[in-house]
Amino acid sequence: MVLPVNNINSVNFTADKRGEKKSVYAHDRLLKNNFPTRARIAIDKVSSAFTIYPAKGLKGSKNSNFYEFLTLGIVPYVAGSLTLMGVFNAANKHFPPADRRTASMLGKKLAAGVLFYGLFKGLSKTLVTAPVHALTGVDTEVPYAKVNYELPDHINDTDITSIEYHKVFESVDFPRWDLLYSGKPGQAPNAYYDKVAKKLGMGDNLKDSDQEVKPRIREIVTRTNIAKSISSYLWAAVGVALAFQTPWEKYFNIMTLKFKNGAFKNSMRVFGQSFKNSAKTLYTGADSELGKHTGKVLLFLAAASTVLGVLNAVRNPDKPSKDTTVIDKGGKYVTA
Amino acid sequence: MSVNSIQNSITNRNDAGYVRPSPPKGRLIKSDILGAPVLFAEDIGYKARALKHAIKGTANDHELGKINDLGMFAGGLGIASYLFTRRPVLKSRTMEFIGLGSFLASMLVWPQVAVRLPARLIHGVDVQQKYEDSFGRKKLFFQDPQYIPWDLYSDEDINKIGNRMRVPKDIPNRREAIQAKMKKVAVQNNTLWMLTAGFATPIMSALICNRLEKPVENYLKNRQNKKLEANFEDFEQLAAERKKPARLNAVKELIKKNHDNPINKRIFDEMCQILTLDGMDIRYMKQDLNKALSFTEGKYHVTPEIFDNFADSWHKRFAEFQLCDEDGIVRPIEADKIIKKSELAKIAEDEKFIGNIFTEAEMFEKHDKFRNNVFENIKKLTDVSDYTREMLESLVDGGKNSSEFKILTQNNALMFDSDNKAKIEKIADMIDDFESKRAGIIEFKTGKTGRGDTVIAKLWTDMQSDVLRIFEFSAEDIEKAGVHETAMLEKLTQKFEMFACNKEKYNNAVSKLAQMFVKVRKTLNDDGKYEEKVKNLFNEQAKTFKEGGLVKMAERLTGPSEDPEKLVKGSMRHHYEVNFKERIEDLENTIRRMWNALDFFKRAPGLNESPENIAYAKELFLNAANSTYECKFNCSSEAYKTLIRIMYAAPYHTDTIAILEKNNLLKGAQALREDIVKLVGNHTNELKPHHIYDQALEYAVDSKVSSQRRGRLIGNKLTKLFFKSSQAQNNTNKWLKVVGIPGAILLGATILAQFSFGKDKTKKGGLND
Repeated sequence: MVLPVNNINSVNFTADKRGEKKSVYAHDRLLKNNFPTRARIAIDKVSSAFTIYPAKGLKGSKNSNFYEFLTLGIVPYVAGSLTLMGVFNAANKHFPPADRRTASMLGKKLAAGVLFYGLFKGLSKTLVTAPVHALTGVDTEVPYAKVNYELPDHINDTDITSIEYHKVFESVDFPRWDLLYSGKPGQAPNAYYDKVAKKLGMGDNLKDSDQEVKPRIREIVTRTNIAKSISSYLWAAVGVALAFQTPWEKYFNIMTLKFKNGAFKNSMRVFGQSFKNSAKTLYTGADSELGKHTGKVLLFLAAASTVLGVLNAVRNPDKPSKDTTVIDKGGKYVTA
Repeated sequence: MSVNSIQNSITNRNDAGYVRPSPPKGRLIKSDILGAPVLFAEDIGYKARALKHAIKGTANDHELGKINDLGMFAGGLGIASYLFTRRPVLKSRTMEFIGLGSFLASMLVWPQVAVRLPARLIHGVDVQQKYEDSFGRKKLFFQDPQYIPWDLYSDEDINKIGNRMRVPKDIPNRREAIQAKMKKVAVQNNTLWMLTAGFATPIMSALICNRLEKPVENYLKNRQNKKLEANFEDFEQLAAERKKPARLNAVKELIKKNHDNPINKRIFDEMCQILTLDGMDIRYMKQDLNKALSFTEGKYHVTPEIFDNFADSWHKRFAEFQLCDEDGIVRPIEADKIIKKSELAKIAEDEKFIGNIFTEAEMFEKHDKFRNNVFENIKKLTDVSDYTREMLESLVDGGKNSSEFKILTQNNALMFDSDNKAKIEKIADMIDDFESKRAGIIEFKTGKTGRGDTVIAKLWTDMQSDVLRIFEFSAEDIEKAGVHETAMLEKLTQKFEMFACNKEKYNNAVSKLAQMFVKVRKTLNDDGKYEEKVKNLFNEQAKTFKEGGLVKMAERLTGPSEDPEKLVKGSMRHHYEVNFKERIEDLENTIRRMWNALDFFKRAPGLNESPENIAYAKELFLNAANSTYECKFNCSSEAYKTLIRIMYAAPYHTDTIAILEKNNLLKGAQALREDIVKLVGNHTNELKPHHIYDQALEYAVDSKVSSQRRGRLIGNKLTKLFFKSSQAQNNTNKWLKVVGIPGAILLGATILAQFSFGKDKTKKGGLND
């Protein structure tokens, strides 16, 4: 997202529809981790990934950076999902009727599998981050807007900033600690760290709560990250397995987006039933001898990875985390 | 930063005692095929360490990234494993893992083939160059365009690349100019990679799976077949290893539970149920066991039925007794008042009479107790003279010779005594032994010719796709003729005519069909070894059964005949042999039908028959279903016979004979034709379709075989066979088109796009890099 910050230019080209003041983006700013913000960030990232970033990247812009490269990663996800669905379904209409039906049922299940993969993967992350937030006070997902000053491409370029949306803890090597210090008048700079320290049972009124708490937060974030990434893929697998259950066929037969005569409402009702029944057959493995228990095992693995992941993230450290032995405080140092 | 490297810098002091940073240890990674396994192993080690660090909470960003890969792999494995268990056949199960593997491989291969290689060829830059930083972390050199560790490239290397990229040699700061250009190409290629991978990966993966499906199936079936062969070869030894004392344990359990009880009907039935062979009626075991087990002399036991008979017998005696009283009036006796079943049953219960074993003396004692009850009831009778009372008492006073006492002692007790126990256990062991051997036969039989995921199923599908190739069906033929059987008849007639008049094509097709036949026979039942083993096993077992006293069972296995060579219809051995043979015949005779038809097309021009008949015969060869034969081709009996004669009675063409003889198939093929003439063609009554031969039914004598048997001789309808094959092939072709063409376009576009990369398109007024 490229936004103008030319102070001389009174015309505002910002895409910000909510009327946020431009000054918000004059420097890096912590954002609230709530649904509207997350949605706005997601929309911004997805639209940029399909428009501005590819255009910049294909031109080989000197301003292209790692953030843009990573955000471009959305493209293969979306394109890959659509292509996967296409590979399983596109040729079906050329098949003879009987084969078409068989292929189409399987194709729809596979397409549903692709959708559920993404859905379960995304939603399951909350199963880790929310309890960790509640138990430790550390919200590993808190976002911030980063202002990036770019090199002008052209002599008339006045628009030389771009906004990137990061998470404070997206790097465990370099978390943006600075954004967590309070700048509000009347509030102690360490307010955030004080709160976390209290929540973690490290005590009240610590002299330097930030220094005490940072290593702990780093541990929590790291452990939450691993729990999040491993469990989310297992939940994604559960999603695929769910999509492969026979009861879905009932829904596939009548699914529609037409509203005439309450058709859509009815199809949604059947969707609910199919979902419920599919969840049941996934658990009981009713229609397969060999797969009688694999559904249970898969569900158990996913649930266990979430629970163990959270427990690992919130457990107390085995030893004091503040390492004081690395630097010899009496020694002399040069930096180069 | 690891503690180690800090430790290094602490010890790394200069002369003045100042600590100075360690020299950087980064390096470019030279990737070649030989180094790949080492890198792979290092990567696994790195991921394992990363996982450990992450659980501890000390991992860095790079390590966490690696764990994400690990998670993706675990999730993919979860999906493949789950779907594996949901698939009915081994091939589709295996394909789930191949699907996962091909997807992951495609993710890796696409950027190598479509991005890295062309970029290297066109620009001389390795856009996927990897490097290892001072902390041993491996990264893509160009992943972050704002941070590229250029110092890892020597001037010499950079200049070489610059020459390839045609950067002028005489400019100031040439290195910077080359670097800027390299960076530009890399950024463009990275973007291209991200834009194309999403489309390319699923397509590539699907195409890989499509290509691998057949080899995988071939490999799996080959392995399955080899295993079946090996197991069958020494199935007797395997049987000894696999033998489970299932029946022995079950009867032991039964004996333990009922050791002191007589073997009543329930226990006897249960025992027979345990002992009898799977798939055999229980009555044969009952008959044999009744004879084999010995009953205990001098000991008796009473079943509820016997007790009922006993009481009824007394009751009947009183009911039938008519006494002429002193006054000369005949009065019926009220038997219900004398024989009270409830009272007798109460005594029986108190005495633990039913179901237990007694000696004769004990039995008589019990008998007395019942009699006393009767005497008392007689005493209670009013309005009866003493004479009558005496007469009545005499009715139950038969002692040991009375028919009632005989009823009580009719059942010699059958006990689990040591003799019977040994006999039963021996029989159980014998049956266990046979079942373990029979399991080997069944494994071979069902693995080769059963329904579902079997060797014969694979041979059928192979045959279906092979015949399209043998008869040179083009994609267009397949598409056009694959719409309907009528269209297929037309196309097939055309093909057969063409092959018949072209000697080379003809010989080639017949040879291929002959080879196919040989392969089928060799794969399914080489040298008839199946029948040989079945014969030996069943004959030996029948002998063992007979020696062990199980005569009826022995007869069920092989029939009453003493001749071991004779296959008796209806015996178990017969089922096993015929069932197996018929499944193979289905396939074999369909292949034979193809060369029979082809041979007829070749001979047709020289035949001295009416053109109508020849044309119809050609159509019948290709298009007649079994039902068409059953309806005698819907023509008169004479016409039917003529057609059969034209089609099957004349000798083969000399070319056909040569090929069949070469493959040693001529005799069998001719025998089949004779059978068809004799068994299918020999109908005297045109109005009798679908009748089944039965010796007892006189009206069926003109046909010695069932319609199923006749159908098997004729083989499958060829138009249907080719139609089905075309449909399957057509589906694959269509799918390949829909998926493959976009894939090819994508690959082409991706490569072409790279020719426009790296060019400086700065507009007027633009700022140089």
